[in-house]
Amino acid sequence: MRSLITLIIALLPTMLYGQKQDSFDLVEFNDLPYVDKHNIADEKLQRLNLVLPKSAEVFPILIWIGGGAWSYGDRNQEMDLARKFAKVGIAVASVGHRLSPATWRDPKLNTGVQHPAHIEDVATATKWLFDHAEKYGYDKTNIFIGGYSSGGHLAALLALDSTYLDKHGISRTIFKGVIPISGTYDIPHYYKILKNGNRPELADLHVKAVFGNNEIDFLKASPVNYLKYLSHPMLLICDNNLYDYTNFFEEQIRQTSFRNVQVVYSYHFSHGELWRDLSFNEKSRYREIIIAFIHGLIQKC
Amino acid sequence: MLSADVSNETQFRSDLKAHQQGKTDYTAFCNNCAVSGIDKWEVRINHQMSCTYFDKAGNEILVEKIPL
Repeated sequence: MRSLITLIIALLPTMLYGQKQDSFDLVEFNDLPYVDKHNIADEKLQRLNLVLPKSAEVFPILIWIGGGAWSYGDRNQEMDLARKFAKVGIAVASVGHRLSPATWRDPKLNTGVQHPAHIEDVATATKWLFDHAEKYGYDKTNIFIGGYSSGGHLAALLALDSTYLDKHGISRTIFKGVIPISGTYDIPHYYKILKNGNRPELADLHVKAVFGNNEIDFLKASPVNYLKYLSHPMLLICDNNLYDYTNFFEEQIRQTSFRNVQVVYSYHFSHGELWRDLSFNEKSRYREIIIAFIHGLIQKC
Repeated sequence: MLSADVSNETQFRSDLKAHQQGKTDYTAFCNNCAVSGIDKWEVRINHQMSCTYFDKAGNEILVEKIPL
C-alpha cells in the first residue's frame, strides 16, 4: 500500500494534467506586443514570443528571459529552448526587453536604457501574460519565471522585489517557482569581481552602463538585498564561469530561514556551453532538472 | 571540461577533503572532480541541508550534510 501511495504521489502532476505526453505538437505566436500602443517605447524589443503545446488540457507556463548582459539579448534566440520545454507540455513566453548600451562589445552599441527599464519591461510582460492566460490556454495559477544570465538576474529580482509587479496591481505570489540560471545576484559584488578581473574596464563600461553610477542603484538592483521576501521554491543552476555569483547568492540564502531552494553546480560547462546544452541538445540533464522542478510544483487550477 | 565516464568515489572523497581543508583551489577541485567522474553537485537548502555529488548517469556518489 505504501508503494502504491508513493507511486500515486509521484504521478500526481501527470494525472492532474492528463496523460503524460513525451512530445506535444506546438503552436507559436511571435512578436506579440505587451505594451499598449500609447506607452510603447521600443516597437522592436517590447514584445514576446509564445510557444504553446497543442493540448486540450491547460498547461503551466514558463516566463523566460534570455541572456545578453542586459544589452544584446534577443527573445528569438531562445526559441530552441522554448520549443523543447513546450514539447513536454510547458508553455514558454520568451520575453524581450529594452537594452542597455554595450560599447565594451561594439562601439556602435552606444545607446539604450538603464535599470530599471529592463525589469519594468519584464513586469509589464508578466502582467500581459497573466491577463491573457485564458485566451492562449495556459494556467495562470501555474506561472514560473526563469532566465539565463542577465535574464536570471531579472527573474530573481522580479520574484523578490514586489515594486515592479505592484505597479501593475499583481502580486509576486503569482509565481509558482523561480528558475534563475547562471545569473548574478549582487551587483556590487559583480562590479567588484569585474574590477579585479582580466578586463577591469568592464566594471565601468558594462556595469555602470546598465545599473547607473552609484552604490544605491547597485543595491536596489540586487536580488540578494530582498532575501527576506524569499517565498517561492527556487531552482538555481550555474555554469563554471559564473560559479562565484551563484555561490555567493547561495551562501546568503543559507543565512535566511527559507528552506526551499535547490542549487545545481554544472562545473564542467562554460557559460555558453550550458546555454547551448539547454537550447540545442536533444537530451540535456539540466533541462531535465528544470522540467522536474516545474512538474513537481504544478497544481490543478 | 569532460568528466570521466566511471566514477571513483574513494579518490573523490580524498580530493573533496583536500579542497575543504584549503589544499586545492576551485579550479583544481573541478579538475579533480572531472578525473573522478563527478558530473555535478547539488545543494539542497531544505530540511535536509545537504550537498550531493552525482556521476554522469545521475547516480549519487556522495551526500554530505551541510553544517548549520
